[in-house]
Amino acid sequence: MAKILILLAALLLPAAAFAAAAPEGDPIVIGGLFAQSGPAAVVGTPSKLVAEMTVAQLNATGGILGRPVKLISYDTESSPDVALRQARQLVEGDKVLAIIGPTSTGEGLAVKKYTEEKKVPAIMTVGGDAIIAGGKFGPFDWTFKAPQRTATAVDKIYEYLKGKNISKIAVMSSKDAFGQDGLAELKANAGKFGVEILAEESFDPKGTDFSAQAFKLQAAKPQAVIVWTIGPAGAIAAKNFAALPGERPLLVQSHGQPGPSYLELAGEAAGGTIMPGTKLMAPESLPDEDPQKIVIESFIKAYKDAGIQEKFPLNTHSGYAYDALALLRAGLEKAGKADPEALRAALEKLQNVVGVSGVYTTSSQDHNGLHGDSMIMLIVDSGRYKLAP
Amino acid sequence: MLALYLAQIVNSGLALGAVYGLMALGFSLIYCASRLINFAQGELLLLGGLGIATLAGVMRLSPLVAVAAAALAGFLLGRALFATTLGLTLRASPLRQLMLTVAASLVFQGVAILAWGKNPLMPPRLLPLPDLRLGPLFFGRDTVTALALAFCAMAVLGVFLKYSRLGRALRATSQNAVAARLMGIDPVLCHALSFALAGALASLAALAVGPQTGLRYDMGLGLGLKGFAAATIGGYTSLPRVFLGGLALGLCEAALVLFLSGELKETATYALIIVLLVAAPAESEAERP
Amino acid sequence: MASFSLSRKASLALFFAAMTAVGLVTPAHRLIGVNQHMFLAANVLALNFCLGLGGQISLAQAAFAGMGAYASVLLHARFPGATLVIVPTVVLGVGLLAALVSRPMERLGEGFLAMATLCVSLVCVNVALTLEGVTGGAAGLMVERRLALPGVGELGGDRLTFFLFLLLLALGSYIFLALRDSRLGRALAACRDDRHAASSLGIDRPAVRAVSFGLGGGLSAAAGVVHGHYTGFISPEQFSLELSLKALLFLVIGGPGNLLRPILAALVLETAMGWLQFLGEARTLVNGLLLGAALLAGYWRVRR
Repeated sequence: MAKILILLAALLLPAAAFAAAAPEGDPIVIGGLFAQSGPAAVVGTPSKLVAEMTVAQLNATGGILGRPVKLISYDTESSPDVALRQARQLVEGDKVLAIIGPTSTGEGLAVKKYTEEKKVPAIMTVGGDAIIAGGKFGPFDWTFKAPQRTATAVDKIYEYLKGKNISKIAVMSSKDAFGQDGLAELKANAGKFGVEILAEESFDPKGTDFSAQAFKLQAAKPQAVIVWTIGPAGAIAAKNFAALPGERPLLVQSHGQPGPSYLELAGEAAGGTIMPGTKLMAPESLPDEDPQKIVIESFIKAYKDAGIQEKFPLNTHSGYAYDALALLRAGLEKAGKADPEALRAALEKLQNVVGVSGVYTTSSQDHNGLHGDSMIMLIVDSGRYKLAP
Repeated sequence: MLALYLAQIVNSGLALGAVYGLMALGFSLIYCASRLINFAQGELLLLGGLGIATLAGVMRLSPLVAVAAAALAGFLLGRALFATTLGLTLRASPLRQLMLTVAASLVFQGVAILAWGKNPLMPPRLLPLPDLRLGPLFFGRDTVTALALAFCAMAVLGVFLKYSRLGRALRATSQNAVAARLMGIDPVLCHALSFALAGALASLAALAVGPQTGLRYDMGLGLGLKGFAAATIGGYTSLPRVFLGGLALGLCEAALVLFLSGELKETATYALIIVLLVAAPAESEAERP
Repeated sequence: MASFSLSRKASLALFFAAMTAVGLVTPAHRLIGVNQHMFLAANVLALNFCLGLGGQISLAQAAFAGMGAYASVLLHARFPGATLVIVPTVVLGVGLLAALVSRPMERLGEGFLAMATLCVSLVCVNVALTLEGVTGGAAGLMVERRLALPGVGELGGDRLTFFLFLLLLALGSYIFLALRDSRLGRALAACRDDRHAASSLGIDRPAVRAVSFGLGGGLSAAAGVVHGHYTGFISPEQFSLELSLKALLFLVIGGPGNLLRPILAALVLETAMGWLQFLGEARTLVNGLLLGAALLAGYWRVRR
């Protein structure tokens, strides 16, 4: 009961403080696609909770364009087929204005093909770049992406390594869409930073031991090893590297890893690993003038107050659904009306929209809008994430 | 350099292989006693491991108590699995029984999600075994834990099957169910026992694999499949061979990664299993399960 | 269909009439769900050839469906508009491949055969992951071309796809029944019921069973072709082991050898599980309980 009261207070207080008019009129209906079962459920379930929390906040502060917002969300079961089915239900059955989600890259591609044809704006929370890459993945006029691009994270890592005078690396990537994406970007951008990839290996993200891969990469004597995967496999790899005899290379993880789960699963082996992450992972390190500071702090508070923290401790993926809704709100306010074409046009011209994952400035070519400055390099030090020196 | 490579193959391969071997033993016990492929084997590991992790959070478990508790928890889980699948459908076709274990694996996953959530859980390391160096060979502590557990379990299981009355009854049922029944052995009891023992083995495997990888609701099928593959390589019937099948699978995977690449490991492993199955001599066809 | 007082023909007619009605009445955006279940149902029927007629378990159905989908999509990208040539080639090719694969595996017992076909499935998924240049790897492949017939135009859209699937089911059912009552079907039944007796009677077991495997593989491939072009995106995860297991599950629920009951089981139970969205966290548990209950219900019905 107390929790509910606190939640109510948290929702109502800002409303009272800003004395915003209660939203009225027909609600703006937004569709949500989140993987709540299957392998991507660990990311999808908290995304749904965050989306619901954010919509409640929006409505408490006057809605969008003075109208209340209504979120209808479905479970995609981590499957492209089901995601497409639910997307069609949202668009043709529930008549939503726009879609946020889905969770995995495969789901995103299946949904995108349809939303592009149907001209429905979709702000996706998937990790892979394929949805807004164009080329063989088709046009992306109506598709936007809230999390940083893979290439952004790769550049961030390479910049950091260059600063440390590290130029010989090895790459270990998982055999799924996320790992494949990472490997491709790591290879494509290596030359730009004068980095040489000495060896590469791949592994099954559902595997239980990658010590053979770790040993093989160590044998190539790189200065650093970059592990590109999402989920528990990253922690297993860290442990396998830590268990190797002899001189160990610097271990770098992808931007999919930062979160308490990695620390818990990898234990001591996590110590000293470097990874790019959103500023959400080290809020205390932000200077006061950083525009994201206040957004991140209030997000963390709301996240805890809503009780999501207990089930899904805050991690690097937590903010994506919030950001998708922040983009949507900014887009609608810029467009001035709840119309798909106007919303699409506005979403392409956003400037300095402050979200949890970064400050978005989009263009017709860049449907993500985040750059290297939205990320920070983290280091694991005595069981905590800190700004990497 | 080659020596180092070989040492690493042994280390990685045995870490994997011991776990596969334990899973394969459980598979074979059930398969021999009731001609049933148990697709919920991986979920037995999952729930056994999660149960022990929770227990260890409440009270301090000494290593021996932990092993005993894990074995007991697995035993009960296996027994429960039997009661809800094979026990209900003793006269159904083997396929229907098999599919019931698939449904049971979903139920077990559902229980894991409701009780422990979707985030991976890190069980504490209950068996504090050290790293081991034997001449040129190096064994990480995970490898040592897995091997120690596997060999102890094998030994206890072997003694039980060979010398105890119940164990002999189980073996008799496996070899010839009708004759065993004529000798006054209750086949249902033996089926139930094989499930319970498989559960205990899976739970012990969780003690080895849990602290290494963490436990998550969707990890069961992958491990179960490897156990199934290992049991197939070992040929189901002889327990030492089945266990060796597990070790061979683990070593083969490690060797493939080191000499070929992780990219091709799965393809090559499964292709090898097909070749192995097809090329195996057709010794007395009737006995091949 | 013993428990129904309807004759086989009447129940078949009733089923296809009911499905036609479903196809005509359901709004388009709901039909996509039905179509996805029809894809599964076609795979159930395909598996029925191997298991129901020949008594051979197969977990490779997803692999055959995947091969069909990938081959057709890749060939269409190369030769757009050649649907009339591509589809029969792909279906025949995969069918032949399935028959060839099954021959050396024929003598394996149940457990070993399950493992071997499972390995075929896993090898196919991993090959698709590895051949990134051709298949797009784990990220998958966007499907640009639709199936098209000269004179008719593009075969896309929900309703048309529904009837394509229904046609596929009807064709499969016809072949299934014709085969079951033919000399070849009797030979298959003999192999299923007592393989040693069958061999003694002079039946060429590997050849006979290769036919059933090949037909099943071809049907799965055809279903994969339709599904791949319909969804507009294919990736290895859509043709993973889960599909094979589901096909086997629904076939067993309905009873191998039955024609309609497994198909109905797939359609009804999949739809029901789709509705269980609202359960949230408890969904996996309830799915498992539902499937278990269906399996037990089938068992008790037969026992009584």
